Amino acid sequence: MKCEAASRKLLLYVSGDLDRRSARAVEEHLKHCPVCRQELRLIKESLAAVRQADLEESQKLPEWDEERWADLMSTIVRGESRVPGKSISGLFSWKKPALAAAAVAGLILVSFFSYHLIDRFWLHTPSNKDIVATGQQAGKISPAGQELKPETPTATRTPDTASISPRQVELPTPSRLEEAKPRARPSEKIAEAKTAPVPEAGEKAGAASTGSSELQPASRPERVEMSFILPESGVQVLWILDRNINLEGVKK
Amino acid sequence: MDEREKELVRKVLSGESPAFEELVRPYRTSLLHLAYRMTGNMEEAMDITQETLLKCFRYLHQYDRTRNFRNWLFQIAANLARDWHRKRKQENRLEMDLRQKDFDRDHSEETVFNQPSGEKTSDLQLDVNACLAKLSPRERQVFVLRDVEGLSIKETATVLKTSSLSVRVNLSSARRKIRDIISGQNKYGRVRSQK
Repeated sequence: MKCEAASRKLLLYVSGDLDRRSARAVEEHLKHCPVCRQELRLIKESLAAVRQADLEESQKLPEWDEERWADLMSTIVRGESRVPGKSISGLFSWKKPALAAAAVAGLILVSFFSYHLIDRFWLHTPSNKDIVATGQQAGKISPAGQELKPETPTATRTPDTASISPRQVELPTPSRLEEAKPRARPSEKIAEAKTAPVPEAGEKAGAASTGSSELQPASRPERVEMSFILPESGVQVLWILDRNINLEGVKK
Repeated sequence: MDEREKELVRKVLSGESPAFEELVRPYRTSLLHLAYRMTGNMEEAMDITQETLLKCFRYLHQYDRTRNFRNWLFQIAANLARDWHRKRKQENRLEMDLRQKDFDRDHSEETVFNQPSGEKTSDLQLDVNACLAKLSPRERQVFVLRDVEGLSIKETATVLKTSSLSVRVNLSSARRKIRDIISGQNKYGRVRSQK
């Protein structure tokens, strides 16, 4: 073995980390090489110096303050769930980007729905869709909803049989619905509408089936809550649709 | 892992959280020491130790009870220290470069030895952190675990999740640097107090 190879192996030989065969080869070389013996001595002294200095420094390092230790243990145990591995906070760690992204997306959707889509959303309900579909098919309703009188009773739809997609009909905007109310009421052609009370959401289809219905906006709840649970993670997302809260979170 | 530790782990997992303190107390000093040697900063070491204990509690249910509990704690701490090195490197790349240049300039002429005040010039103390600062993060981890904490090559490889060959290579490199630093200081007599 040459000195160059021996000096490399000495770095591991010094702590007994060489395999037996290599160790024997190094020992054979050391018997005849004073330079490598000197090198081995230097390595040993260096490592011993580090260990000795570490030992001395360690004695000067600050010990754990018992009060701080107690606080830490209390924080760890309280901050986590009672049983390790069932941590709730861990679900929302940024090391689980999918869950974090889902949570953020959920919040954005809540804001978006509550501000922009709530009116459309409620017009998609079967009762509202039914009114619109009926009026369009009958051809008796103007976009402003001045007259609502189907040609035949069979043109009416019930929620169960309604098949017209909301995309296939032009949905009246809230402004149109608002316009429809004062125009339809004075109409003398719809006698029932004058005396009939404003139908509830569930009664819309029945009212439409009579062939004479006043086009009223659906009774829209002020606030609706929906929740769903992600099956993989168990995270529950809660959507709150409040038509009185705008995008900035300010109540109208 | 001895029977007592196994029993404590079982208690913690069954909901007896106070048993956790009894489980980790014997290792709190060695954990702090390890983190200090890996970072060279006591505040960071304290943070890493606290985070290690938190992770230990959180993931105790994943702990393989056939493994040495201390080595498992060391593994968590080593990972956190590695993350700390990476974060520090990314955040302060430019600043680090400047500091490293300053550090290298200062320490190329100075020493890794401290002279305690009021003592003789010949009575010098080796600054371990100054030595370790000359190593790469990986070399530093390997050297601290093997030569300071006394883990075997195999244990070190397990803690660092690497191969024994990689540990041997990094250990050789680290020891060569340490040997050069210390023998170079002695040889050329460039010993100066840092304080």
